[in-house]
Formats: sequence, structure tokens, C-alpha cells
Amino acid sequence: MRVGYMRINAEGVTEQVLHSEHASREEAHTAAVALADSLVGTADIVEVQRGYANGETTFHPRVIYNVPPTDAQRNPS
Amino acid sequence: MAIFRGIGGSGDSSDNSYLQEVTAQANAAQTSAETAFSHALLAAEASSSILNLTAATGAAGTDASYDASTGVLTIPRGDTGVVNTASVSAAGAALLTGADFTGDVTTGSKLIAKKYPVSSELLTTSRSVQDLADWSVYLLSSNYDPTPEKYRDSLDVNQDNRFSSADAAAIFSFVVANYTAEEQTTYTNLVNNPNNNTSTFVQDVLDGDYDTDFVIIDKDASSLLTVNGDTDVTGNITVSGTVDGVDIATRDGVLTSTTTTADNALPKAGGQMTGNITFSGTQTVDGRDVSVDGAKLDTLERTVRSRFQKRAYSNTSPLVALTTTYQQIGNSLRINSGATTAVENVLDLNIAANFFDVNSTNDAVFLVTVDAPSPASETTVNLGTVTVTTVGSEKYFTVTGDFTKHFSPYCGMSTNSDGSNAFNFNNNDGWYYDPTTNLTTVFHYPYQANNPTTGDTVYLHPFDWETAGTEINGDTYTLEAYNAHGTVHQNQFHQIYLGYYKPERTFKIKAREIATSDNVSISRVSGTYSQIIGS
Repeated sequence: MRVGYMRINAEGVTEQVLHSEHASREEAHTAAVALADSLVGTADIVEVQRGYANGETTFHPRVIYNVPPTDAQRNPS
Repeated sequence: MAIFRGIGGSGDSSDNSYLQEVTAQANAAQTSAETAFSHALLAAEASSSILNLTAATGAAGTDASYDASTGVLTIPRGDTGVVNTASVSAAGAALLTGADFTGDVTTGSKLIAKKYPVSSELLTTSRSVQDLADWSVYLLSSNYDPTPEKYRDSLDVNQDNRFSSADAAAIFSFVVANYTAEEQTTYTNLVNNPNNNTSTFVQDVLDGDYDTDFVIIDKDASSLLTVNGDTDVTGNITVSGTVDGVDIATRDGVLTSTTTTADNALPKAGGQMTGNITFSGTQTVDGRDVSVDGAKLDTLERTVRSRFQKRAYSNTSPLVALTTTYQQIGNSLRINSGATTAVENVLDLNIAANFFDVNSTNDAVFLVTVDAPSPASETTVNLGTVTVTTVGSEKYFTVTGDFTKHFSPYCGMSTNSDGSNAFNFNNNDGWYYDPTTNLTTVFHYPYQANNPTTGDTVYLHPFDWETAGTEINGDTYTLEAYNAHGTVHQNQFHQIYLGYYKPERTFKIKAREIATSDNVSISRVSGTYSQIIGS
């Protein structure tokens, strides 16, 4: 499962950036939360995503995390 | 010694008193002599004996005596002439205090009883004297207790073949004492009919041979009593046989059972059953085999719908002004169809957007998120053993059976039933079912880890085994317009399949702009959320 984020590029268009790849969704979730926390204060960051690969560097975002993540996103259920 | 001088002789006063005494003695002697003479005369007349005393009376004794002072000779009757109660009874005579006669008693005149017998003395087995008496006197007397038993025993209808007026009065007294007012009326009506006011009527009844137009009593007929007309009975009727050939006691049991059955039966007019109705075979209701129809009904789908809407003040005013970050449009939605198993969940969505003039392409996207439940609360579907085929850059596998209802943007697949090593399945790929081969074909991204190989067993979970509460994104739908002069309004209608899972999952509609140059707002979201049960 892949983890990445959406950012606004120089043209003002949102684009997906692949950050990491993980063997399980649990690992991916942990990485996504950590990434969202790390991106706090970074300009042009829209959100953090995780999902399954659908291209060499792209993935279909199954789950979205705010920056910083909400409590529900951080600890679902 | 006194000197006898005779009547008219001379002497003093004492001489006179002696004379009177002698005179008296002479008179007494004369009387005794005359008596003795008469007895002797009688004896002489009766026998040649000198003295024969056969008419013996007086006191008992054996020795004769002579009273010199009176000149009376007394001869007793002898010592066997005693008269007392024992000697009279022994001789067979009746006493005034009472007697038991062993033979007939015949009188030359009336036999009058001066004492009424008390009830305890009446109508016993020894009652012949009472039968001779006028029984009505006893019936009407205060000493008599006119019970039915005594009345029957005392009535002799054969005596004169007709009741006397005294008899009638006694009978009426008896009726008054023993019967109700209605029965007294019946009796009065009866005796007022001269044809019946005779003992013949009673005797006929007793003889079992009575016949009128309405009542027939015939002891020799097959039916002892025949009544031609209505019969009212106030008391109970007890029979030891049957009525019209029916044993009433037995019939009563049958009727009780029948009543119980009838009370529990459903009337033709309809009613409320409290139990189940079952058939032993293929019986029908109005020509329909309910069991067969029910089996068909079980397979029929039904749909439960819920409608929703969220709109702005007007079509031109924004409900939500979009940014490049996803925002929820409208409320969080859910419905519960009441089903306890998985159902098909379908969203018919109408979304209205306003594209404000940017003099360029103006884009946005929306999607629908669904909150995942606990993975264990949903059913993991075993798709079976797969056959994998690779054609160029495409990779797909086939499984036997139709699983297409399970595929959605929210589901996940894995070769492990716990969801580990899941592989990608998303809207870039596809699936279909071929009924001719009964195979479901599933396309998946070929360049990823964990792809299944032929022979693997593939499992599917409607929410990709995600942790409960995780919002899972569905497919993204584009909202796009080109603005050259003014605002563009756009209405889009989508039918979005959310997947096959149990009811009550929450879903949300979210949208965002693609670029910072876009200027899009959502003015309304509305639609129908449907759950298809039985599919």
C-alpha cells in the first residue's frame, strides 16, 4: 500500500506525490499519520493519502488524512 | 230379763222401751223368715233338694254364718268364684282398656271413635279401622301431616268411584300444602273439568290406560306416555335411556368436545388466527400454493429508500464554496432497511454546482466516503480458486459464480482471509459476469505486489478490512465547466453503487477544486439512498 500527499504545484494545480510504500495497510496507516504530522506548516500541502498503486508512481487514494490528522483519522474507531 | 206384755198392756215407762225393742226384733225375725222362706220356696221349685243355692253372689268363702242380732243367715259363694283382670283376660274377654282381637268384630250399630289419631298413628300397616273412617277428617285436622306418602296410602279411589266434597276439600288442602301456585292452578283446572273430576281419571292414570286428545298413557304401548302438544317442564328431566334414540349423556360429551372444537375454529366470515397454518402437501389457498409462492417471494428483491436534500438559499448562492481540500457537502447520511444481512447499497445523487466566471477551465471533483465498520462485523466473501490470465498489460482472473454485487470502490481483495497482502482493486480496472460460462472476470493492476496467481483462493471484504471508523473514499467524479462570460450552473445526476454490506453505514459527499484557479461552489445535493434487500 502506498502513502503520499496532495500538494498544490507551482501552477496552482493539485498533484499527488508518492511518499512511501508499505507491505500492509497497518504500516501504511502509521506512515500516513506520521507524514501528516510532519507536513504541518509546510506550504501548499493539501492532504495526506494512502491507497493501492495504480501506476508506477501513482495510487488510488483510499483514505485521506488532514494535516495535521484529526483524532478520528489518527485513531479510527 | 225383759217381760213381754203385749201391745196395749199396763206398766211403767221402762216397760214401754222394752216393748219397743221386742217389737223391732220380731219385725226383723219376720223379715228374715220371709227371706228364708222365699229362698226355700225357690229352691223347692228348682229341685227336690231341701236347699239349693245356685244363684251364688256376694263375697267368697266356705263357711256359712248366722247373725243373731240381725237374724241373717249368710252362705258364701265358695272359694272359686274370684273375678279380676287376669281371670277375665284368661277367659278371652276384652277389657275396656283395650284388646287385640284375633277374630272379626261385628257390631249391630255404629262403631264410633271419639279420638282422632295423631299423625304417628295414622296410615300404618294396621289401618283397617282408619280406612273405614272418613279419612278427610284426618286430612283436615290439625293433627295430620299431609305428606305425599300418607296421602297416597290413605286414598282409596275404588271405594265409591268418586270423590266426595269432603275428599275434594282434603285433596285441595293437600295440594296447597305440597305444590306451587302454578301447580295448584293446574289442579284446579283439572278438577273443574267434570270429566276429570272423578277417581276414574286417577285410576286410569294409575292403571296406565288414559287417553285424551292431548295426553295418552298406555302401559301396553311402545310409548307409555304420549303428549300431543307443547310440554313445559320447570324442573329437571332425568332419563336412564335415550331421547329420540340419543344417549343424552354421551351426546353431551360429544357436544362439549364439538363446542371446544367449534370455539377454536375459524369462522367462514374470517377471524384472527393465533397459530400457524400448515398444509400436509400441495393444498392451495384461492388456487395458490402458498408454500411455493412463498419460496418465490423469498427470492424477490425489495428496495428500501431514503431521500435527502441540502440546498443553498438560491441556485446562485453557494452551499459550500469549494477549495482544493475536500469538504463535506450536506449531512452525514445513513438508512436502516431493517435487514440483518448484507444488502445492495445504491446512491442516486443529484449535485448542483455553480461555476463562477474565471474565463477558463473551471474544475472540481466529488466523491462519496463510507465509514468502515469493524472488519469482523461484515462477511468476508470467499471468491474461490482463481484462474489468472495476463494479456499484454492487462491481468485478470476468473472465478466460478456471480460475485459482481460484491465489487465496489470500497472493497478490497486478498489471497488471505484476514486481508493481509491485499492487492489493488479500484476504478481503473473492471469486472463482469458471463452467465454462459458462469464465470466472474476481475481485472486488476498487474504491476503490484500481492497479485494472485492461478490456484490461489481470493477473499473479498466490502470495506477492505479497514479499521472501524475509517472513512474510505469511493470513486471521484468530475465537476467541470468552462467559463467565458458569467456563471455556469450545472446539474449532475449520478447513480453510485456503494457496495454489498449490512445496513446503517454512514456515508458523506465531499468535493474540492482541482486547482487554486478554479472557482466552484455547490448549491445543492439531493438524492435517494436505496438498500436492495434479497438480492
